[in-house]
Amino acid sequence: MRLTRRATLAGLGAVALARPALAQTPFKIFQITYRGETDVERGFRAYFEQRDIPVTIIHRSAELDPANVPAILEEVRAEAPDLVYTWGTPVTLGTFGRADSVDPDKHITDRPGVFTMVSAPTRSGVVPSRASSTRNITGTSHVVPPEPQLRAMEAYRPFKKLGVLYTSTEPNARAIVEAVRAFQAPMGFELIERTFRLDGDGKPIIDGAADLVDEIADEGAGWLYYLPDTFLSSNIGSVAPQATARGLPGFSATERLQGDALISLVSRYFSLGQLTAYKAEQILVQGVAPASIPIETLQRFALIINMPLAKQLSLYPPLGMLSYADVLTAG
Amino acid sequence: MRRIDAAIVTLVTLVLLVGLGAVAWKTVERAEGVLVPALEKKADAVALSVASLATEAVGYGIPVPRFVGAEAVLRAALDEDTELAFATILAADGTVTAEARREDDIGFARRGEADIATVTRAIDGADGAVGAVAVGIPRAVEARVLRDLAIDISVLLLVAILVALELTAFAFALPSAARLRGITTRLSAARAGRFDVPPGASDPALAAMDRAVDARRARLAALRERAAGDGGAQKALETIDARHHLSERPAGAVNLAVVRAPVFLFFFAEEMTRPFLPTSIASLAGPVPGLSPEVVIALPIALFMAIVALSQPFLNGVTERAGRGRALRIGALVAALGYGWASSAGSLIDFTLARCVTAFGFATVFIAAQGFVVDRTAAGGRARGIGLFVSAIMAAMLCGPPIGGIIADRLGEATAFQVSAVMALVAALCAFVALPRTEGVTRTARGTVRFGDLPKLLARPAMALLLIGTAVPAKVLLIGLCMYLLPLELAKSFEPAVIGRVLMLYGLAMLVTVPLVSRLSDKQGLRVPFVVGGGVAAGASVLHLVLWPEPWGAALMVLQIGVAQGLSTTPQSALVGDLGRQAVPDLSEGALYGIFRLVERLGTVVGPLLVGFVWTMTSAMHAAFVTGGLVIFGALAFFVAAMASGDGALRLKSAGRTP
Repeated sequence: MRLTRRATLAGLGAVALARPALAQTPFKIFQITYRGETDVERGFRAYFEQRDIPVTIIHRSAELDPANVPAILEEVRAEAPDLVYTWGTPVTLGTFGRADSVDPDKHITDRPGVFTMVSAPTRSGVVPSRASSTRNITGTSHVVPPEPQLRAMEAYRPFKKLGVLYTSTEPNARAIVEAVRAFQAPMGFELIERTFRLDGDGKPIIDGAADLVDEIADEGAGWLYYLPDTFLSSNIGSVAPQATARGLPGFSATERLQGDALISLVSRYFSLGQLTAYKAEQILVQGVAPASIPIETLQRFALIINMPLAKQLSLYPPLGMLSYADVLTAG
Repeated sequence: MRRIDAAIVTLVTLVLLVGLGAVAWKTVERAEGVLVPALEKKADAVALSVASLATEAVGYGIPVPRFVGAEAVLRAALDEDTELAFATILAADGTVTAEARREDDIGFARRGEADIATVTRAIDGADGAVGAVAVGIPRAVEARVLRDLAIDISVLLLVAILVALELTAFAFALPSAARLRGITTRLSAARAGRFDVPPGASDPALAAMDRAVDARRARLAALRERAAGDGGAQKALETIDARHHLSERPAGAVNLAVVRAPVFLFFFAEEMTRPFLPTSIASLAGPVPGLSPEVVIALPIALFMAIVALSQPFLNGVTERAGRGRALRIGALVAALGYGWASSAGSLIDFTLARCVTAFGFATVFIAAQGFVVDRTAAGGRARGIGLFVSAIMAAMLCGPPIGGIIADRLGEATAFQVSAVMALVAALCAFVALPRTEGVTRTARGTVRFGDLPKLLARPAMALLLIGTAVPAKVLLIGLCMYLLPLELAKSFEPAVIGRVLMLYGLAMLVTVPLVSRLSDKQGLRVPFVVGGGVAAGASVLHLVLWPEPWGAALMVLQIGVAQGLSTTPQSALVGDLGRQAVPDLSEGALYGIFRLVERLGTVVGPLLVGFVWTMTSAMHAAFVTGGLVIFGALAFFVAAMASGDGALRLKSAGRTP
């Protein structure tokens, strides 16, 4: 896959105010990610390089298991970094705790923190409101709000029915589905909902996923909406090919699924890393209290068209869309 | 006009016509060579932009016949450039795969291919062209662009000549020209063997000449005395006198022409704002709670008019005490300040305040100029003096709107306001050069306005309906419909230059009609029919709006209103004099007309607000018809009252004057 990137990244340079004084010991930043380094971390690092702010970054990955976080936190306490960086909701909750149940023995409270890739910072309990964490952390979110997503689908291919397949045990996914339901009447479409089957322990299983996709296709959905659903993301290989086989185009709101969906409307991970770094800079260089820095998402999103899939589905994009979308091509 | 003046004016006109005409013709001719390729360049840019998008799509493997949403892209291109007739995408074999055509214009798309110039750009695939994008401009557009330019230039030509004539007349009135004229009149009189030259030459040489004539005149008188009783001698003396017009001595006339140029230039400045003033306000107006957008736009216009109307009684005394010339200069400077401020106003409040400043200046200039004329004319010459003053305003109404429209069109509204400011300054300069710096206050018997007299006047139904039924609605129609609703409505599809050309028709019609009618209605005592007929014709003019496509409907309406009000305005003010004198005999003429103008001007205040209100409640078209209906109804009501009153003044010939 090759990405033809035209859209420019959000102008983060504009928000930077003063160039910092140099010739100091580098800031020590401890990064804890969920599944290793991504473009977010690359954007984060690039921002500091661009601004000539010396930083030393220590990176640890939870290896897809939040249970690994406590051990990493022991290391954090030993390193005594200037800032702790967390990636994703599980790692963030493991590191800083829920806003209403912080335990100074278990969680990091004495070090300022920035989180990123937390899709629902308020709903997941990381912060009480986006205006302020009221504690020693701030951060960024990558989720594109539902309305621009629905508009993007409508612009590519108008629809009357929208299919969604999600994990009922993921609060995040449930919350997004609820938000999308509210748009049915104003935008004039009907939502066809299916959830992954659960095993005896209440854990989602992939068996029967293809049947669920068939049901959605049979009911006449114009699009299949891939939510930022952790289970779905991990098992997209069992869902997307079936949808394609049924001529059902997928839409994704995360960069991770851009190769599986026909179009994706995403926050660029790299840009998100830059925005997160900007917040880190405010804390480290300008000495702003994290509680007084709001939690934000990017203001501009990138529309990605999966051209090989468009050909396969015989669903070519509207000509006008090519002037602002990024196009994935085979090769 | 004296022969030499006529000769000079003719010469100036000819020189201007030939010179400016040649320049105009050359300009239009040159423009064809510049504008037409520019149009094709624009079409080419559109074709290129669509073709590059299409080329990109082909690069992604989308075949030209399988393009999705191509019509929307083509439609957007047409919407962006309203001069294009069509845009199409063609496959390699020449079949049209997508197209957008402009259907709303007069037969653009239905014209034959020969009438449309087409520009083509290729859609490139890996191995050469796989299709093309074609964009068409109707040749009619090229013709229209050139025609618009030619009209603009013709209007400029007309206005330039009118302005030049005003300035020539102004130059004739200046002291140096007066001296020259003194010489020529004396020379031509001498050549004819006559001595009936008006006195008043300030030049010492001319004064000496006059003294010599006076000496002869005295000698003739002395000889006559001596010849008393001698019939033959007396007869001989009579013959000499008759041959040389020795004892006839025409009264010296005060030269009022000096005030005409400043008035003309100053009103020109204000009239320039007509075509774009309402849209200027609209662009600044935000939502005001409790008021519709239409009424919000009407408010600054009504406020301007209110200041002008209400400050008149007060300003008359002030300008008299300050000296009319000085007041006129100060008024013009204040107004210029207002224009300058308006050009940079960033908010509606700012803009409205700027307009208030201009309104004060405007009212001062108006009253000072009118007072200047009234102060210097005896009752007999006053009508002529006021006529001079009014025709300057009408000439400005003819020249201002189209020029203002062209400037707003090509250079922007802010620039147009700046030009107005400069015009007002030039008016002040003219007044500075020509009007007396200091003047002895010659108090004329001009009463001040006494509002206590209003009930007595209105107690007579015919008088009341003359004021409220004809004078007020006439102004509602002019300001509310022509100067407020029309520019806003036309601005939806036309540029300020077109609006200006529509509005100039009012001044044109008035300029032609008023002088014709003032004689006719005076001689034949047809005042009531003229007032009623004019009112009905003015009100009925709104029908043009539904009869013809725009802007022709609006143009005919404005033209008809101009002719109709030209018919009624002079008889109307004459009737005010006739009826007023009967109603309140002790009321001075000045006070009577003061009240009349004040009531009349209330119509200019009510006009935009009333039209705006009806517009909000219904629609623009309804508002126009309600206004027209009001004018007709008022005129007919006055007619009934006039017939019922049995008042002699309403039927018979009247000797009333028409200030």
